[in-house]
Amino acid sequence: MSQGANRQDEARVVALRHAGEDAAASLPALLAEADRIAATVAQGVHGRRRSGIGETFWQYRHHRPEDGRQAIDWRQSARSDQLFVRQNEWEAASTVWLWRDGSASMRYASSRNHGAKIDRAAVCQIAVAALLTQGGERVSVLGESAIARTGALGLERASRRLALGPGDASAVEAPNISRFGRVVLASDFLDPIETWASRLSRFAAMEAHGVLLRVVDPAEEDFPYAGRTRFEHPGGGESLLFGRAEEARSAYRKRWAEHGERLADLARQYGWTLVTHRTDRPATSAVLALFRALARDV
Amino acid sequence: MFALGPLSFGAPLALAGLLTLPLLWLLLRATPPAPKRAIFPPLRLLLGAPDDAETPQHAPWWLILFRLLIAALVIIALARPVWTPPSVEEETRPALIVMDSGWASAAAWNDMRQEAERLINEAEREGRPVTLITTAPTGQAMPALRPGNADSARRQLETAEPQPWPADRGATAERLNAARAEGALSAPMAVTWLSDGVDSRDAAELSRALDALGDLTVIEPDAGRAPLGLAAPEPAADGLTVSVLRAGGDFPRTVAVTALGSDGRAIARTDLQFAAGEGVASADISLPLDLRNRIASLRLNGSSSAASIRLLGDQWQRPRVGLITLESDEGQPLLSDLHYVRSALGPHAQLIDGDLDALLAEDVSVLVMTDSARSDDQRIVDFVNEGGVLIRFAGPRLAAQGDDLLPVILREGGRLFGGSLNWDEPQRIASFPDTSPFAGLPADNSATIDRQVLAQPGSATPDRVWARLEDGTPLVTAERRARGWIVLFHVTASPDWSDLPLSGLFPRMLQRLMGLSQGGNAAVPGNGAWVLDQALDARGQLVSAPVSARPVPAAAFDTTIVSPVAPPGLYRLGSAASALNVIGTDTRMEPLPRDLPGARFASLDGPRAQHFDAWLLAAALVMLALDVLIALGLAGRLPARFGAATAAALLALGLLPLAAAPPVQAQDTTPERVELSDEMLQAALTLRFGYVTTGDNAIDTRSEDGLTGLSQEIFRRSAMEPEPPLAVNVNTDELIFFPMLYWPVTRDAGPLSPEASRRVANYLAAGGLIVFDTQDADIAMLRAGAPHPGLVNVLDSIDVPALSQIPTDHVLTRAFYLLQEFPGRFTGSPVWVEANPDGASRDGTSGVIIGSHDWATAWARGAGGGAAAPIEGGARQRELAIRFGVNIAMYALTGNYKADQVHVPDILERLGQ
Repeated sequence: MSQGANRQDEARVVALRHAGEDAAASLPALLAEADRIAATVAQGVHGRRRSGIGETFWQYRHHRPEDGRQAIDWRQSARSDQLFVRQNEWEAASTVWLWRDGSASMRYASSRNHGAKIDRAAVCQIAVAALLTQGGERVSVLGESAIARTGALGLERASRRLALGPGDASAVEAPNISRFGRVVLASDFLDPIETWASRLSRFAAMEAHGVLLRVVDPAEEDFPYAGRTRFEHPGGGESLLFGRAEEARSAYRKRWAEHGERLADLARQYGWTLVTHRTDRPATSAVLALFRALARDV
Repeated sequence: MFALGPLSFGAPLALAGLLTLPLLWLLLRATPPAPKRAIFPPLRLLLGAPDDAETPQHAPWWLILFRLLIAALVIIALARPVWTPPSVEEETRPALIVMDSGWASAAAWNDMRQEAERLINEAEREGRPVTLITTAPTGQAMPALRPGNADSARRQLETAEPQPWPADRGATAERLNAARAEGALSAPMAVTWLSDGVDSRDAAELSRALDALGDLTVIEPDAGRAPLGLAAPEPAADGLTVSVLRAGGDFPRTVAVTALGSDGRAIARTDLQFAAGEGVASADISLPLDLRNRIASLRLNGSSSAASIRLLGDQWQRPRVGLITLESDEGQPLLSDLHYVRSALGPHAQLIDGDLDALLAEDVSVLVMTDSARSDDQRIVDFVNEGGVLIRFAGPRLAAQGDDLLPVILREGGRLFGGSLNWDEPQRIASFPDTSPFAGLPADNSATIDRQVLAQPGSATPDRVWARLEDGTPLVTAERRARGWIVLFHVTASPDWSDLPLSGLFPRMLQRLMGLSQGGNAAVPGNGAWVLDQALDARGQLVSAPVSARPVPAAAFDTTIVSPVAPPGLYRLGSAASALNVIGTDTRMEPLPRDLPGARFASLDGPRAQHFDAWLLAAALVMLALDVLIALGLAGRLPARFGAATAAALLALGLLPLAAAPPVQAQDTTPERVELSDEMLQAALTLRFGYVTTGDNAIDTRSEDGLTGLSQEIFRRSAMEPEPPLAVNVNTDELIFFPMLYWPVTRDAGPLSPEASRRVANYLAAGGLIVFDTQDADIAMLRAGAPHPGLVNVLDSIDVPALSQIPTDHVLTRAFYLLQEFPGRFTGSPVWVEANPDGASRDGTSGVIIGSHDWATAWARGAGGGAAAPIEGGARQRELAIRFGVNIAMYALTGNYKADQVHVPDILERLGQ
C-alpha cells in the first residue's frame, strides 16, 4: 500500500475514533441512568465458578501425565509426596461482535453537512466498542478477526477495522461467532427483507442476537427531489429517469415506511432490537439507544 | 442595399433567417433541459414508482424567449445593419465639388474621394449637374470648367490623384472666376470644398471665389488623417534632430520616424510626441557617424504622402575632419587656432584631434592644418592626391616662409593693415565670385582683416581665388591637386589677424568647404542645373522622373518650391546629389482659419453611418455565456453558493465598462510625514546638538550643561557656531535635525520601542552621529565582567555593526585637534567606534561613539568658568575632554574629510613623478 493511502487511512481511523469517543464521552444523561448498565456492562469480568483461564486461585489438583512438567506447582508439591497442579478460576468476559456494512450504498451522503452513512455507522460502533472495552468486555469485528480482545489494544484494533474494513456481507451470511454471542449489526438494511431474514436466521441458529443499527440518510427518508431527475445507484449500473420526481414522492414514502415496518417486524421476530438513526442527527442519540439495547441485552 | 428608413442592411438576405425563429421555438420547446443527476441508494424502492419518465418537461418560456432573442440578434448582426442619419433637406442647386489634391490630401484621400462620390451620387439621384475641380496642378493644361453630369464627374474623380506638390488654390480661384465670368458656372450652386485642412496664402482667395458661387461648405479631414510633414532634420552633436509638422490639432499625438539607408534598410527609429495644441514635434536620434552617413532618407511611419518622406542629399553626410593637433596647443584653449575651427565645424562634421599618424589612421576626408602645425610631410601630399581636402590657415610661420602645399605662391612677410605704423584701414571681405563655392553666402561687412599673407601676383589666377578682400587681394585660395583640394585661408584661424573667425560667416564658409570632401571629386555647385534623378510621388514612393520635370538652375535650387516642373525628389548635378523636399525650410503648417469668407465648416468624421453588427454579435455572445449558466443552473450543476457568486461576478462584468476604473493609487513611496512642533522647526533652522533625555533629572541637567559648555567652547575655538543644545526624547521627537546626539545610558535603561529604534536607525542611516556614554568608567565591566545592562538593551534595539576601539589613525584623532586619548571625567577605558564603517552608506564615518568617560560632566562649565565637577586628571584632562568634544563635533559635521590626509604621502609621491 502506498504511503499516501496509508496516511489517509490513518487520518480516517483517527478521525472516526475521535468522533466515536466524543460520542461516547458526551453521555452524561446516560451515565446517570445507566448505573445498572455500568455495573453489568462495565464490570466485564464474570467468575465462571469453574477452573479455567483467570487470575483468581481456584484449586489444586493432582498432576496428570498429560499436564507436562511446566504445569506442576512445585511449592505445593513439595509439601507432600504428590505432584499438584494449580488451577485458576475461569474468568471470561462477555464478547460483543460488531459488524459495519461496507456496501456501496453505505458510502452515500446526500449533503456535505453530514457524513456518509458508513462513517456514522463506524462512529457509533467505535463509541460502543470504547465503552465496552472500558468495562473490560471483549469486542471483535465480525468477519475481520476471530479473536476478541479488550483493553486499549482491543479498542484500537476494533476501531481500525470498523473504520477501514471492507464490511463484507459474507461475514453476516456465515457468522463466525460463538454461541450466545451478542451482535451489533450496523447497516442501512436496504437489501430486501428476505435477504436479511435469512441472515438473521443464521444468527438465530447460533442463538446469537443483539442490535440492528439502521443508518438512514435524510434524503432517503424525505425524498426531497423534484423536476426532471435521473436517479443512479451509488454502485453504478442501474439508473432511473423521472420526468417529475415530485410525483413519485408519496409513492416512495409509502414504500419506505413499509420497508421500515417489515424490518422492525423481522427484528422483533428474531429477538433483535432495531435502532434507527438518521445521519443528520448527532451520533450520541444512536449511541444512547445502542447502549440501552445492549445493557438490557447483557 | 436594403433600407428601412435610416436603417439599412448590408446583407439583407440574411434577414430571411428570422423566418426560422418559429421553428426554433418549437425545437427549443421540444428539447427538455438536461436532467439533474442524483445518487440514490434506495433505488430499488423507486422501481415502478408512478411517473411517466419520458414526458419531456418544457424549458421555461422565458428561457425559450431568451434563446430566441440570441438567435435574432445573431441573424440581424449577420445582415450587417447600418444606421444612416437621414439627410435634412432636398437640394436643387447644381453641385460644385472642389477637392484639394496637393500632397497634404494624400492621407485623407480615400475619405475625400468617398465623400466626393457620395456628393456625386446624391446629385445624380436628384438630377443635378456636377462640377468637380481639383486644386493641385498636374503639369498638364487644365480643361475649361463647365458643369457636367454625374458620370463625367465620376470619371474625373477616378483619374484624380493627390500630387506630390502643394495645391495651387490661387490658380483654382482664377479658373473659377474665369468660368463665372464666362458664364460656365453661375450662382447659386451647392459648393463643397473637400479641403486638406492646411492653410495657405491663397486659401482665402479660393474661399472668396467659391462663396461667390453659392453656399460654401468646407470639409476638413478628421483629426487622425490630418496631414503631417517631415521638416528638415537638424544636425546635432551626436546624431540628428528630426521634426514633424502638423496643422493644428488640439490633442496629443505620437508619430514615429524611421531613418532609412540608401538600400532601404532602417537605420534608426524614434518616436515623436505632439503635445496638445502643438504644431511641431521634435526628437533626437543618436547615431554614430558611420551610421548617420548612411542615412539617405527619413520616413514618417504610417503615413503615405510626399511629405512623409524626407530625402537627404549628400550634403547631409558629415565628413570626418581631422584637426592636426600639437601638444603645445593644449595649454590655452581659447587662444588656440583650432578652437575656432572646432567651434565652427562642430555641428557639421565629425572632428577628430590627433597627430598626423592618428588622423590618417582614422581615415579622415578633411585635414585642417593651422600655422603652428604646418608640415609638408609626404603623407599629406599623398593624402591630398588621393582625394583628401587640406584646409590650411596662414600665420607668422607661413608668412616667413612658404612651402609646397600651397595653392598659390606666397610673398614673404605678409601684410599688415591698420597698425600703428601704417595708414591702411583694415580691409573687409568682398562679395564672393560666382565660381567660388562660397557663392551665395552674404559677405559679412563686420569682419575686418588686419593681417594676411599675400600671394605672388602671377600665381593667384581667378579660378584659384575663392574669396577676396575689397581691395582684391585673395583671402581664400584653393587649388585642385590630383583628386584632392588644398584650400588656404590667408589669415589665421584665431582672431589674431582678423575678425573672420569670430563672424558668422566663418562656419558657413567652412561648411561649404566640407562639401568638397564628399566623394572627393564632388563638383562645386556654382553653375549648371540640377536634374531630377528620382522623384517622389504623392504616396511617398520613389519613382522615375515625370515628364513635367525640368532641370533646376543651381543658383535657384535652394529657393525652389516643389511644383510640377520641379517635383520633389533626388536631383543630381554631376556627381553631387541634392534633395528637393515638399516641406521647405520656411514651410509652416497651419490649420485652415475659421474665418474664411462665407465658409461653413464640417468634418469628414461626423456621425455618418454607424455599423453596429459587432455590438449585436458581442451582445449575443454575452447572452450565450449567460445561457450556459442558466442551463447549468436548471440542471442543478451549479452549487447554490457558486450560483450567487457567479451572478454577482456576471453583474460586475457587465457593469465593468460602465464603472470608471478607480484612480490607481501610486505606490506610497514618499517618506512618511513627520509632525513637528513649531518649536522643533525653529530649532532645526540652526546648528545645534541634542542630548537624549533619560528621565533622570540630574543626568539630563548634566547633559545639558555639558553640551552647553561644549557648544560655547566650539564657538570660541572654531568656525562652528552651535546654538544651545536641545533635549530630545527618542520616543517622541524627530532626531534628524541634529548633527550629533549625546546619549547618556543608565544602567536601568530599557530597550527602545520599535518606533524609537526605527527612528534611531533612520537617524544613523541618514548620517547622524550618536555618542553613547555610560558615565561609569566601565566599572560594571571591571567588577562583574558583564556588559552594561542598559547599553545592551539600547544597542540591541539598534542595528549596531561590529565595533572596535578608536584606532590611532582614526579621523577622530585629528578631526580638529591631534589626540590619542579621549578622556572625560574619567579616562583609561576604551572608546568604541564602528570597526568597518566603509560598508555603510555614510561615506566611511562611524555612526556611533560608545564610551564610559562621562564626557558631559567634563564639558560642563561651572559657576566660575572652571569645571563643574571634580575631574580625575584635573584641568589638563578637562582640556583634553573638551578637545575630544570639538573633534566629535567636527567629525559629525565634516565626516571623513580629514581622512584624506591619509593619502597625502601617496598624492605627494604621485605629484613628484
